[in-house]
Amino acid sequence: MSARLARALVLVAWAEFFATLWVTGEITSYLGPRTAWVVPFGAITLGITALAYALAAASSRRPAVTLSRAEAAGLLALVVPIVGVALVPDAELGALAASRKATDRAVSPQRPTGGEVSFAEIDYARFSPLFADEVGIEPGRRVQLVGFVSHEDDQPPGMFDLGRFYISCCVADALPTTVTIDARRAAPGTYFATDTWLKVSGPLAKRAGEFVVRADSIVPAEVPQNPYLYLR
Amino acid sequence: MSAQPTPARLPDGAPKLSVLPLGAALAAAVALVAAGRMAGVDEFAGVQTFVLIFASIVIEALPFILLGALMSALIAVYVPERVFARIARLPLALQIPGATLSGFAFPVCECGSVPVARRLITRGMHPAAGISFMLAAPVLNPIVLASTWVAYSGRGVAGEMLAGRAGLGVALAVVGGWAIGRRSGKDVLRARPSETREEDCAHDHDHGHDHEHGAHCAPARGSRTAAFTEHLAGDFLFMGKFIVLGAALAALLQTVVPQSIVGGIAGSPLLAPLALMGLAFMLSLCSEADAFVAVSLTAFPLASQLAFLVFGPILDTKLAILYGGTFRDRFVLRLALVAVPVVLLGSLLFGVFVR
Repeated sequence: MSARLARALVLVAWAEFFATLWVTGEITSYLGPRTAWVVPFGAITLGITALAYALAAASSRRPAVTLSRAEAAGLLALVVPIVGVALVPDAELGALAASRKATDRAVSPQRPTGGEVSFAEIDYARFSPLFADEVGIEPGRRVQLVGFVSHEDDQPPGMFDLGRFYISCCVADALPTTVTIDARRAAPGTYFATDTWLKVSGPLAKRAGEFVVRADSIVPAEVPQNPYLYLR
Repeated sequence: MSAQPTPARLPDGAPKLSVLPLGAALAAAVALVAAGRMAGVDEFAGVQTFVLIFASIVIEALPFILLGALMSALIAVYVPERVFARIARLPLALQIPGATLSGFAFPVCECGSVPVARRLITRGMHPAAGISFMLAAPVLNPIVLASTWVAYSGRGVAGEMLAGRAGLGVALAVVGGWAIGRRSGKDVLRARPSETREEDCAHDHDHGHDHEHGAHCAPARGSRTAAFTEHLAGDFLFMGKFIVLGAALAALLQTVVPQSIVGGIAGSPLLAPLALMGLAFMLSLCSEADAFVAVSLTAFPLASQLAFLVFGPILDTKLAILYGGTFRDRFVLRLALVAVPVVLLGSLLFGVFVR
């Protein structure tokens, strides 16, 4: 097989993959807004490159170079991510990723976002009373949060964590943020399975230095089209 | 008259691949996807996490490799030989800092700087200067500095962290380039394998290749555009596979290893920066995003966060694989032996003045 043909096919495959991500809006499943531009750039540049490469090959007077096994292995490696995405098209980060990426840190919201209180603001408020005052995070304030369920090993019955991920450039830098939910009033005796998406409403309470939502409403929620939140 | 038998090997001895095994491999890939979906492999949380992180790193990194390959091809085809001859005549004491500071002008992430550096070395720049550029560009580029400023502005130490990152980044680039790249270009770079024979024929001078222009090269190309395309495609495809391998390793580490293992040593002045350097190596983050991750490591002092910010763009999982395919003679080990003490010392010194 011609090495040029194989190389052109891989270039076309990636150009098409980037174009598909771009057209379908699936960029947000992998990248944040600051790097989303790389997908259209990749689609256009690789498309032009593949076309130019194929035209140059077609008009070349040099003898064709045959594909070696080493190069074939390298080119096949390049299409593995495309195969992976085809195998797991609706992948999302959930409780497992949150457990792997969690430390005792908090996502830093930089400055108050205004409007609805966010996951990051509630989480960060436990580290900074000054920030909590500035944003108005205090016991009794009503909040509404949409996120996925995760469970800590030592959580008492009726309590669970509701989480979201903040990303900057791409999913690899995703930072989990969780808020503890006290579900004993809204859903006594109910166990919510890990990775279930819920919309939780209720007032904040302060317990052991942490802000907890004393839920008075817990309803199932659709997974958002874009499940990630963004750092500014 | 009998036909000549088709040789089973290429002129350089590499085994030839016919269409059938390649077609079988493609059919196997399609079958794997179909079988996996039917078996519900995509429902496992570990598989989803791995594939998502793996794909996101590759999707983000490959366009930067492409950008670097674009610049590399421009350098290869459109920059006259006399420019590099002039640069090569400069004393090393001027080449290294000059190459380091030129990182300000190249807004490419760490992936994109590798093909550019390789091309600069093959065109005649001293390898020490080329390596200095490669180490400096991911830290000094304006987008990275702006991200660092934004990330730390909420903590009131934006200026200090920006100055620390840029200053320690410059120091590491200069020291690293000098310590590792003192040899000639031929000894530092790994010769490209036979898959790029056509690209090697596309230019007149390529000091990094040790093959000879022999019978497999046709007469020189007339079209600069064709040569540019050859270089662009060749660099992208060559570097891209190392990114895929590195991304797979990074995704595996992120899926399997909890980041909380470093939390227990946040208070140790010596172990904390080392732990965050290890974390940076494992996470393989883009240098334009890592400041937002670093600032959230609130249990660690600023000096340790600085170590995270300077070490990661120099050496992480995906870069280690990429360097291994580009440079020879245990480049990764030698870089680690230089980078770890320089970053450690620099961050400790930073910690004396900034808390």
